[in-house]
Amino acid sequence: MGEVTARPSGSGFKRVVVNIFYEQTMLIILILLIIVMSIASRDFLSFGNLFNVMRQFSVHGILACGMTIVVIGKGMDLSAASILALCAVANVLLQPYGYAVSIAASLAVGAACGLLNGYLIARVKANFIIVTLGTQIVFTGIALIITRGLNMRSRPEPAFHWLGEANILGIPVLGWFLVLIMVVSGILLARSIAGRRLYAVGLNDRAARASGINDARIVLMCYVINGLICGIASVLLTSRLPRIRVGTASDYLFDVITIVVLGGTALSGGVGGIYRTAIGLLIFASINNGMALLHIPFEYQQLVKGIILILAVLYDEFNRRRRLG
Amino acid sequence: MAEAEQILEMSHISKSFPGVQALEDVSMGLAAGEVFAVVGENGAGKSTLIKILSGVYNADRGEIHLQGERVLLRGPKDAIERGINTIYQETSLVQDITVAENIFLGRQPTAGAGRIDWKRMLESARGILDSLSMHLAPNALVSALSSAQQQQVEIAKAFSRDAKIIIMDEPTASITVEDAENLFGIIRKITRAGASVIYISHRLKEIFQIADRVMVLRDGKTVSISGVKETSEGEIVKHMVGRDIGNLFGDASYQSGEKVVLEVRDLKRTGVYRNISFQLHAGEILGFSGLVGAGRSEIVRGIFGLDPVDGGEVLLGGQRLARSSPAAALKRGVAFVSEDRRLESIIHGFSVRANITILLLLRVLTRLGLISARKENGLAARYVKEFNVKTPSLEQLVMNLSGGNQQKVALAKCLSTNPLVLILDEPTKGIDVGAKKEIHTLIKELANRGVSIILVSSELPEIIGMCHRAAVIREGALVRIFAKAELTEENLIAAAVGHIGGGERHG
Repeated sequence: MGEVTARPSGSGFKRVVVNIFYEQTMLIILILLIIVMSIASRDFLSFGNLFNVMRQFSVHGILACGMTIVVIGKGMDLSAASILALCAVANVLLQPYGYAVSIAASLAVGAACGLLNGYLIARVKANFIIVTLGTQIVFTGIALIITRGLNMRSRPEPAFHWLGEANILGIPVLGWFLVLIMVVSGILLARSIAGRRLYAVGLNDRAARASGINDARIVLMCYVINGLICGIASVLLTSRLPRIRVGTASDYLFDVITIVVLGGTALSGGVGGIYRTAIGLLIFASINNGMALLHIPFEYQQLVKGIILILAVLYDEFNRRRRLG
Repeated sequence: MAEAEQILEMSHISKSFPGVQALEDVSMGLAAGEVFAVVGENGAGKSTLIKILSGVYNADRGEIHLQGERVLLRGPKDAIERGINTIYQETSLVQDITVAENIFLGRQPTAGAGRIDWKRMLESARGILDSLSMHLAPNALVSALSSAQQQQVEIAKAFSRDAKIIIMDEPTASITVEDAENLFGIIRKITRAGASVIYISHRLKEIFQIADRVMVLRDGKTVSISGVKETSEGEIVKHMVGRDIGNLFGDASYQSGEKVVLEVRDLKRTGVYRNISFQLHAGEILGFSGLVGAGRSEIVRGIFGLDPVDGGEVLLGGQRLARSSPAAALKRGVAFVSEDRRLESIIHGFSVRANITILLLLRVLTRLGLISARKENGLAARYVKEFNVKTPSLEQLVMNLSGGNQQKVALAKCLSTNPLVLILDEPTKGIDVGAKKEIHTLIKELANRGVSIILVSSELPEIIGMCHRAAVIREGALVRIFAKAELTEENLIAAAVGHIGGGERHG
């Protein structure tokens, strides 16, 4: 695959083992985690639980794909969950006009929000943290104004509800969507010209520009794609939950960033990919589901989640130093 | 030196990094009061050797003995405490404090209650500076000193810490000839006082001037250690590259009168350069000479569209380049290798493969429009071979290659598009003799094949030896274009500093 990582090519069994350990640290952790969880709780590996987890975390995974793309481009979208909320509101609001209209509206709103972020960051050259921090408040504000701060009731008809609840070949439709988005974004990153250029821009925007790459356009597209993915996620979210509260959607931001960083996509840009994010998602989902199965109180769950994010950032920093030698 | 005490003994030192054997079984001894020079191409292992001796790296194998006692250096601080001081190319001085404070940093004499005893500190500093014949005021701010003077402060600092060994990494790389003479005087004083110097340099003349013995490293191994009186520059060069390199520059076969490929008319960037007009012919190598900061790089960057321009036009084959951007220039057959290798001409964190193919991705697609790993690897492997890039694999990150090989990757990338015009900004800066020769040969070959080349260089021999004509830039203006017959160091320098003006504008 086109993923760009340090792949030292020296000889020696020890070095090979050490390399596998560094490159696949998170895969090893995931396997250990699954073993520990399945011993701690007999329900963990049951089909019922796995499908539940899949339904619960598909939206996380889809959002994480968009965030991965943005982070590889040396950015971050703190407004992602707010875009999700605004798109969900648009969807519910326009459901009376038919699902075609409401779904199209979600996607359009998502892309437009991403375009605003991308324009300010790539063209105006404003700092991405401040821009998306600002738009986060703006998008949430708009969603709250529209809903007057109340819960929105989505009354999904069976056809729409099917998205959120049904299975195809025994696997939840949401899971299929997750796999589809992961495969498409994974191929886009690893095998397309645009993907290769994105890695180049993330690693070194000046050298990318000197190679004829329009770095501003690439960065702009990252945010638009991320917005679009938030739109897709909002459709799935509304199909699953009958009731949408703007605040609920906002909780996703923290989780999504944790998943991406946990996987090992570098915050310094240009390194990482969907494979890593998939592992990050599985670890995150296992820990959360495991804590729920073990009836760990909510406050402690929050504590654990915070610690995981901090550990993930330390892991990112460790990897960065290792790459620099 | 024969009778002097052996102060340092490094035996069978090996060190490897992922994919690179940086040092292999290197042994050397150092006598008290000796100047020991280490030379080698970039990537030969000089820096690794220094870093092991200064405690930055640990050797994988081998032993270090200081005055007969085996030591394990636990870090740079430990090395300094044991009397090994290193003076790197980049200054490590604190800029905003005085010379005396820098010399005594962390061990300032105190006058009770932790107050710094300024009087005593300035006096001691004065004593040290005088003993080394350095004409520096102890109370001068370091930021106000020239780079040669800052280097002197570093030496004084090391000397004042009773350094037994002072390692100097390319000490004359960024100072003038007179400053270098001063430096040699200082080195002689240091060695007379009994300290030893390990002297790293690319400049062989200096080594014969200052060193007692010289060690040649190649590919991480010791090729030779000889007294300077028993060897010659030619022999050292032969050892460095492993072969005779012959005449540094070939002959120019270009005949004038070819068609104009690139024309620049009245190019201007406010406050940087103005009225830049010239023509470049098929197969011609046009030099851009002048002092650093005269605007040479800025002009070629403007032509390529990397920096904005405020006026004028660039014509390719008589047609105007509509938009000023690297993408537009590349599309019209102009390629550019930047002076700043690390930040612009290659992507450090990309593999050799990904760097070479970045401009060729359209040629390695499958029918579905995706990048084919097989096609990409094939193409990259071809260019690695053609340009003789020394890399353990296509997947090696370019940042792990030596400077010369990085430059070959940058050239391979640019030439993969078969450009009509190739702009090279200081293409051999910081590159060892062997790779330099290869790059020069390559440039000549390209010109013979009809590629037009603009060569920006600060090295006059390079301009004179390589170019068919050379433009001299002074303070943002094109002073004059010299024809082949007029290309002499005297003419180029005179034009660069303002002794020659006006004259021929177009070739």
